[in-house]
Amino acid sequence: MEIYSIRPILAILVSAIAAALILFTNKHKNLRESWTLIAATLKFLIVLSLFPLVTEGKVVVFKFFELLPGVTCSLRVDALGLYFALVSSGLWIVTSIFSIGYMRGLQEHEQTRYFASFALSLSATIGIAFAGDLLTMFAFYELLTIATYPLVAHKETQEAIVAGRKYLVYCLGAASVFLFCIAWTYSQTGTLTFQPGGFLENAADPKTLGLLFILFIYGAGVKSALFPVHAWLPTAMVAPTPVSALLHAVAVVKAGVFGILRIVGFVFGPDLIRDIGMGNVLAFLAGFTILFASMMALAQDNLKRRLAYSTISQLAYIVLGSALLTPSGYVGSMLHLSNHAMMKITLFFCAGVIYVKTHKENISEMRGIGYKLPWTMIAFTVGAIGLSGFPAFSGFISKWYLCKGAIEAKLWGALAIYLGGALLNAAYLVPVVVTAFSRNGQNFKPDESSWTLTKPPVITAILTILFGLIPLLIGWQLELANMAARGIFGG
Amino acid sequence: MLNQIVGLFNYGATFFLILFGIYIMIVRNNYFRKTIGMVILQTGVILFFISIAAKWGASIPIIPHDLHGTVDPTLYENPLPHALMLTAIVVGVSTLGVALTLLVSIFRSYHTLEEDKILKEMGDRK
Amino acid sequence: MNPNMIPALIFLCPFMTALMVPFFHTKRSVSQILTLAALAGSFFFSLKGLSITGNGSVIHHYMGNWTPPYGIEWRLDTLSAFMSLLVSALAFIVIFATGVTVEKECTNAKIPYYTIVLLHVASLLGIILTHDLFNLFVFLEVASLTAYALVASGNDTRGNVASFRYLLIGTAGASFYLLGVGYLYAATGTLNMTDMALRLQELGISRTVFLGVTLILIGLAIKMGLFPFHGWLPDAYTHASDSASALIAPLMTKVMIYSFIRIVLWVIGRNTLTTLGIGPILTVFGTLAIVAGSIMAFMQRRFKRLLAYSSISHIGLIMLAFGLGNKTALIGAFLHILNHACMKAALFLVAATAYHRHGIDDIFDFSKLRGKMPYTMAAFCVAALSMVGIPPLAGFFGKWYILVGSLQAGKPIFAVLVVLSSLLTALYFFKVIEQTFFHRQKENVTVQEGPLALVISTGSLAIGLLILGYFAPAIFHWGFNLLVPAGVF
Repeated sequence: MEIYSIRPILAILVSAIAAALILFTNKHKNLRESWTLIAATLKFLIVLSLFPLVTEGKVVVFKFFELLPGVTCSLRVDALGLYFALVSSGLWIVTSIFSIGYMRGLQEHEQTRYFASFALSLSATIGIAFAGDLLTMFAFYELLTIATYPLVAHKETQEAIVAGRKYLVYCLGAASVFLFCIAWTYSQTGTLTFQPGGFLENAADPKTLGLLFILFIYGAGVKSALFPVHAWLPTAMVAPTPVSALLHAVAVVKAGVFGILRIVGFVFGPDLIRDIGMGNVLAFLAGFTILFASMMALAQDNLKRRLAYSTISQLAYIVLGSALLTPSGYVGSMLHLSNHAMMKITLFFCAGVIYVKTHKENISEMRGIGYKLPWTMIAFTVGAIGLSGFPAFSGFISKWYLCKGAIEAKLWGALAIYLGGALLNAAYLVPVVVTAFSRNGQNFKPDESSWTLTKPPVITAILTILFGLIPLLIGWQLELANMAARGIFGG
Repeated sequence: MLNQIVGLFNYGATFFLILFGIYIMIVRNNYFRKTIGMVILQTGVILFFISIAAKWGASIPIIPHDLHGTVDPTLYENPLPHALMLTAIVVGVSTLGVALTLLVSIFRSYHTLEEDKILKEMGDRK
Repeated sequence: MNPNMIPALIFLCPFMTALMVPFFHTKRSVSQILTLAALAGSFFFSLKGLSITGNGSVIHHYMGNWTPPYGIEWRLDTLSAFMSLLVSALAFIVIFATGVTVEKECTNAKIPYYTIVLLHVASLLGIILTHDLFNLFVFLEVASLTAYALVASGNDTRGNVASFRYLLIGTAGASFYLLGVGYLYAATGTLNMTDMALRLQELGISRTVFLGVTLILIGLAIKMGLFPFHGWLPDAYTHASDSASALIAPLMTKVMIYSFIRIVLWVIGRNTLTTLGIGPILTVFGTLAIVAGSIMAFMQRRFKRLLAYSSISHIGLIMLAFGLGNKTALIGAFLHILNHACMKAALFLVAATAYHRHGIDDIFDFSKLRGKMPYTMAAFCVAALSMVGIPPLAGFFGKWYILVGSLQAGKPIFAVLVVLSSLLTALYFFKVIEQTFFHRQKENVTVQEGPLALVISTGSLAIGLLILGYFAPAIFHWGFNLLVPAGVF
């Protein structure tokens, strides 16, 4: 059942207009920052207002235009899209507060460009979430790449410029392949609109469909940092930490896995993927990524790079969950999308606080820092434990569903990787905590001034615990996730 | 065979002129000579048109004032290509005029009309 | 007003004004205003023409009331109206924008400059409107001669050499075209396009016709800068004065492409694309143009030269689309002609602003422009992203339809090439964007924007790209059956 409303496009435009306003008020700092906060709050409220509609089973639609016979570019808000939009817009509010504290704490240059690009990239993210067909999603993918490029290359050092180029090469290359796949899909089926359960049945022979599937996964997979196209993510850590926090732990990479979730559930459909045998291929790729990235994380001394590899590994959890082709696996993927976001953003926020307060980037230099920044490191600990899947934290719920999905699919290898991965998570995150709280004789005085900088990690850490404990909150998550899964897997 | 060659003589001449013009345009280094090559090329094309207008035993395309009945086209040469070529000749002359003006201007700045020297100097002057 | 007069009026506005401008030599500032008035008149009549032919009807104008095949016929159908609208609108915007740069670059030659500009636009409109092959040659030559003069305008003496080389190659091209027309005339006995199409259908493809067609196509390919006949283009666009390159770069080659398509589809007939093998040849040349043009563009330091090679690359893309022989790709090509003309005009105006105000034409100096010309560089970003093909900007849609068309035609390799062209365009444009926005500025900057007219025009073209992007699917649907009627394709 479809309802027509302008709220989807409003949600997207709110931050686009904010971006323009930010560009025009670049001289008045407080006014400029307020645009970001107002836009973030408004956006979250608009997205939230769609929640009751979607949970009733309705799909909120906004049409753009008819591109070709049979292809209407539109925004269609369904359970999966709303879920992703809630995660990104909600976390944007927290990140904006953190950004303001971070940028002012470091007296960063070109703040106008930073905040404007941030606002635009959120526009693009919500656009991806709400996209109703492949082409609209592609358009917003490209916009996301363009909007996040100034953020990656923000520092304008040689390292940042090279990172920016690498980012562009990876993302634009993937976008080109994605466009080719979209055109191919159109020429085979005459439609591009997402259908729960997929619309590519009988479009071509299994071999062609298999190739198409691989190319699609490549197109979206670059953004979700699957092996072997993951290399841009650690390099992009040269960006300011709020960028890494929101975009590379939450928005950009989650847009990538969101794309894969859409492709698996709404373009191909689990039955078709099983028929063409691609489920195992994707599962293998994702599983390998989990192990590979976890190993790489163990070897990193730079905190942000370690977190980057951790992100790569956790994203592969989500991809593996979707590759299981079972309802629980899909639900687990969706849950992990939001839970990991909360936990990772906590970790990145802490890294940002450490950098602003002490200019330290490497773990080996961070001995005893827990005494200087107690609340921050407590939040870090919460994030680290949650990521390992400890009960009472949100990570446990999503891992539960993922393992359930692995059991349902009878993919014991996946189950082993999930359980083993949890151990590896602990292995590369707990030492950071231990180092932070180890006494080494230096006397640190607690210095957590500047609440905009230090409160956000605590907030997201609390959220992590809340979404792991409170049935009401978990229930909301499950409602949307189950709805999406039901649509795809049929009852 | 010989008949054919003689009959297609005009095409041969046109072919020769056009290729000669192009040859000069490509091979010669001096811009003025290239211009001459261009003129020869244009002349070849004009000759082609005129030659296809000619007919064996035809007269000039003017209808005598004491004609009775209809006009027999085989008696008169085709005037249309002549008219077209008047236009083409005028176009060619204007092009030649523009070319010569440019040559004067180039000579004033570069003091030479040799292409290699001019290109070298163009490349040097960033 | 008799609607049959509209084609003549579209042409006469700039033409008569060109003859009038020298009479105002005492008041030189009037020349720009007269030019703008003439182009506005042309635009108005094109709009009127499009409103009449927008539903597929055709306006015939017989010169001197001589009916074809004896007389010269001018025809306004949907495609001609579309193209003349594009030409007059863009010419108006560019002339409006470059008033100040003309003042600086051609101080003592404003009157001749505007006269030549008007004659150039008039002849372009003549090419678009005419339905007679020899008449097309005449206007082709007038357009070329005025273009040679425009390239040589300005203070740069290298412009004279570039213009001369352009003259040599261009005249050779026009001569080939004329020779081809001669062969076709010899075979069919007529010069009117419709009449010739009928007679060619009866006669079939003989050696004469084949030779004539080939020569015409080579001649036009030289004029439009299709690889490998593009040698004149980089120098001509780079060394021309900024005002002149902003005018000829977006328009001239597009009109040549239009006449190429017109002759192949309306005169020779669509089947020749396959039987004569023109289609595959065009796709090959197009491919080479895309790749070679993009690589050369990436290697350039001078901004205008980069734009010139970028033009070569996109002309190759349009020819590739045409050679595919698929209607979606063809209408996509026309859409891309429209979009590319607007984008290139915006980019050349940016180049003009940068050089006029700050003397900067090297892309490695663009970082100085970041703070000094924020609005212009913002417009530059929009135009560059549109060239790369980022939706929802205009440039994406042309490429999308060409992509779909190539898949529909069953030639996926060309789909890959279209996508590759986007990537390659991204390569050199992002290089410039990166240079501008992400390299440290060394000086303290105050905002020193370009002249108001330039900034307004560049800005409105950039906004126009957004609007064109939104309406592109609508234009595509409208044009699908109307631009190229079903009988022709």
